[in-house]
Amino acid sequence: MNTWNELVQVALLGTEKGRFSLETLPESIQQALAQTNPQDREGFFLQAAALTHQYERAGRQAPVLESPGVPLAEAEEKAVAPTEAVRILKTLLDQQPLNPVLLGLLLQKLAQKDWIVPPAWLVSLLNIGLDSVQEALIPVQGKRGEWLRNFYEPWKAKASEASWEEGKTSERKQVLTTLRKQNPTAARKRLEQAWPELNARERKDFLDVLFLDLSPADEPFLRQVQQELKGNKPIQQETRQLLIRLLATLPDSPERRLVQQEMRKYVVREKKLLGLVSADPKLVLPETEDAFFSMERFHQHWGFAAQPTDSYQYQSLIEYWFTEALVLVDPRVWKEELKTDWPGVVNFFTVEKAKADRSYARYVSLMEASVRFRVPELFAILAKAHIPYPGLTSFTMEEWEKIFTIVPFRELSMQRSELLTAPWSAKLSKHILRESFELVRNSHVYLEFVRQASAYWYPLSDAEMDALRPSDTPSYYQSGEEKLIILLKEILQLRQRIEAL
Amino acid sequence: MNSITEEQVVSLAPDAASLKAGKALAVENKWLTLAFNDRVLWGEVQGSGKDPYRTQIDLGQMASKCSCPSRKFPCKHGLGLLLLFAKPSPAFQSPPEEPAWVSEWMDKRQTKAEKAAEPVVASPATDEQKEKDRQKRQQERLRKVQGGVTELGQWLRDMVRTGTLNVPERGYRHFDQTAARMVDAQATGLANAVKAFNTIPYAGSDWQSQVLEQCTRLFVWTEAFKNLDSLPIPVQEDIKTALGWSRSAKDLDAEGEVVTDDWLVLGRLTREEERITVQQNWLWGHQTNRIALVLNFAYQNAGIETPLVPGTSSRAELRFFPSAFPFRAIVGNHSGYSNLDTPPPAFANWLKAEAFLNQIWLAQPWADQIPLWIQTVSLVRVGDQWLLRDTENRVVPLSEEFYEMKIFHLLALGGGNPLTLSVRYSDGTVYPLGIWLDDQYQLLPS
Repeated sequence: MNTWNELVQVALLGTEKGRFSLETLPESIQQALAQTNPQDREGFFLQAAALTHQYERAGRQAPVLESPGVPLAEAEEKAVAPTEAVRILKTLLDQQPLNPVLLGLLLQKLAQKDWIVPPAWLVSLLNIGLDSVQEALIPVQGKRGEWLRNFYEPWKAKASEASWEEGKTSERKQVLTTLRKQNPTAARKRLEQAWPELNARERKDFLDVLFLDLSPADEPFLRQVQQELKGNKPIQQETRQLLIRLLATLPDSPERRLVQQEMRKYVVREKKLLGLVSADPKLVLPETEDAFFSMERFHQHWGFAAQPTDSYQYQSLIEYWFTEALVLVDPRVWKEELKTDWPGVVNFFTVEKAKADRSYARYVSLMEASVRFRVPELFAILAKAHIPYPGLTSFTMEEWEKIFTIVPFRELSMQRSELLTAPWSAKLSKHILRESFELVRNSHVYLEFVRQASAYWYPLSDAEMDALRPSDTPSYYQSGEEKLIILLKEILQLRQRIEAL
Repeated sequence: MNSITEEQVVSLAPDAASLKAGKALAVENKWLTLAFNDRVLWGEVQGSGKDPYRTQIDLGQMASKCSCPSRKFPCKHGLGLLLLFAKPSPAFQSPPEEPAWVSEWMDKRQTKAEKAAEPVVASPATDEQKEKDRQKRQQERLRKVQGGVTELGQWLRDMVRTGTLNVPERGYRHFDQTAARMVDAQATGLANAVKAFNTIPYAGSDWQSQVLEQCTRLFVWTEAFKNLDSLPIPVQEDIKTALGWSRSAKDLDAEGEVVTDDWLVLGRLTREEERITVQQNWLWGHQTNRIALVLNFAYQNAGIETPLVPGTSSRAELRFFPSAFPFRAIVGNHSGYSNLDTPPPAFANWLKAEAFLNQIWLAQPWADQIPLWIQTVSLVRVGDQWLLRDTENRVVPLSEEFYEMKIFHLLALGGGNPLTLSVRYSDGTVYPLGIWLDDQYQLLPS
């Protein structure tokens, strides 16, 4: 125990109980204490402690440590981003909330130019916990960034390969989805390779990804899966349903041809007197199984239930199967067969005098078919009637423009992320901005969508944006509009600066 | 001062909320006008009111004024304007004439500064009376402080007699009551030192040692005060300052050492202490190689107006408080800003830095938080602890307050290579303030 620690022990016990030995103190302190009255125990102790504290402090020498230091970062091979790029980076990092889209655009631009971010900004960038930013950072982090990641576990770059190999099912699905968007063939090959190792749930989840950019090139794999699929457990039945939906979506597949041909047969035009055919077609479904609606096909091969899943919605097993099969038919077939417009198609499938739910189930199937077969007009009509749909759409921006002529953008709030796939035209941008002015009156959360769409807005001029702003907004709603227009102008300005680098 | 950087502006922010709001305002299209000339920067920004707020910055003194209701200096508009200026934004105009609202404020400031520089002319009779009154007040205070010192001396003795084992259980009130009596005795320095017992981390493993250290500090001050008359004058001043005597700028005009230099603000720390904002600025003089501490205070949310800008050199006079180790100072005449463009004379290793510290402690044993330059030090990690190692393999740990993200930032800047740093030394640890890199001084996040 050193001298100071001994004094600390005495202090803890108190001078009434604790004693310290004068001899243990350094000689110079002993000499200094010689002038102090030892009878004043507390004063003597405090004097000794004060002297010892100063003595040890002044005599302190930094200890020697021979252990290895941190390894040196390798020298950079690429040039550091120029001043203007760094200015934009600073501006983006200062923004609250952060705009990861613009940041991603900037990092991509730096990568294109073969520049790296200056070391002073690495920590801020590495601390952004968004996969999209981290992925964009890797090519521009330089040797310094690569080296720095090793010091902190959360920064260690998790390559998408590692996520695919080791991640949770949801992470793996995300990796596969990203790859499918970038390279559909590579994604399918990856799935094919992994298939033998996947469990039944993973197989079903991952197969769903193939809906994105589905093409005839995927058919052999789907056939193989179909052939190998054994057992009748619920998960296997769900996989069968998925397979038939995928196969029926493939252009010119036997399943597609079969379903379209057979389903049309249930549209009946009654013959009137003199052999004239009624102008009003009717849907006439068989009361029991027939050649098409058979247990073998719908239950055993395609995985649909052997009983109606909901007795309230479906009055018979055939009605249930028909509703499921409706998803497998390109809605254009109905338009052609019924010789009507899109509202006419919707009307045709409305169950007259039925409880609303029965029509609803058919509408949901039609909605799904409108998405799978990309029929924007039908989608818009059903969306206007608030019919939900599963999964993501793959409408083009032109098709969205058509949809917005029927249903307001604000009523499609669930599908906003689907707009973030390609640049918007001036018309589409103006439409969305006009509606956004109305939306921000009630909630500023819509500003987040404006931010998310940073990469897609058409470069409208300030005057064009100002002209779209409503002139009759009451003053208490104006702050949202003000925020929106400032935000959008700032986004477009920064995007222009990024593009100009 | 057209070379202000965004990092420097950030360091001027009175608090995080103001900085966040200021950053949000650093966007050109939020400003109706943006302009500057050699002496002043101004802009108009639409706020929540009908009329736009008028914001102006005196570039020579880094003082700001805004027509918004905020009492902070700079307010969020001032910070936004400065951040835009630092970017720099091309939206700034340089009109041939200042608007009236700008020139009026600047002229007023100039007149005020000139008036303050004028010597005060008073009649000898008035001076004599004032001196008499001052001495009377001093005597009265000395009497009160003596009472406080005697009481505290007994309190200390009681503490070490009964033992410090139960100090953690005594609670805030025990120390606050004693501190309050020291305030009554006009010994605010002693009061603060007693309150410091409440800030010791009693959950840690080192509190026993820290309690005794604090006792010894109080003991030294109380004993020294008892022997005040027998001590050298500078030491007397140090004791009085430690006990809570304050000095006005006017006192320092007469007695303080004046040192004119280009003073680099190595770093700044702002903290709240019982509704008082305390701002510490550590300075280093380019020519004199002197170090200084400039303290600024503000009550509650009132802003602190100071020309000092962290990371920037101020061409200024510093008036040092009389002391055996003249360290604390106030800013006198401030004539502009400059940038450090030559490497600082940093200590070559820790032993040399420690020798310098020993010289300081020889003059004033309780001196703490000393800024110094150290060169060619590298970061080393031992377990969870990070240290700075010199070329002789001697290591000094980084302060626990210099948390991990700051260390990573330092690593990012240096890439593992030896660094030249300005650090604040305290109790065997160092807190890096800034780095000499690429031929310039760069502040580290505080």
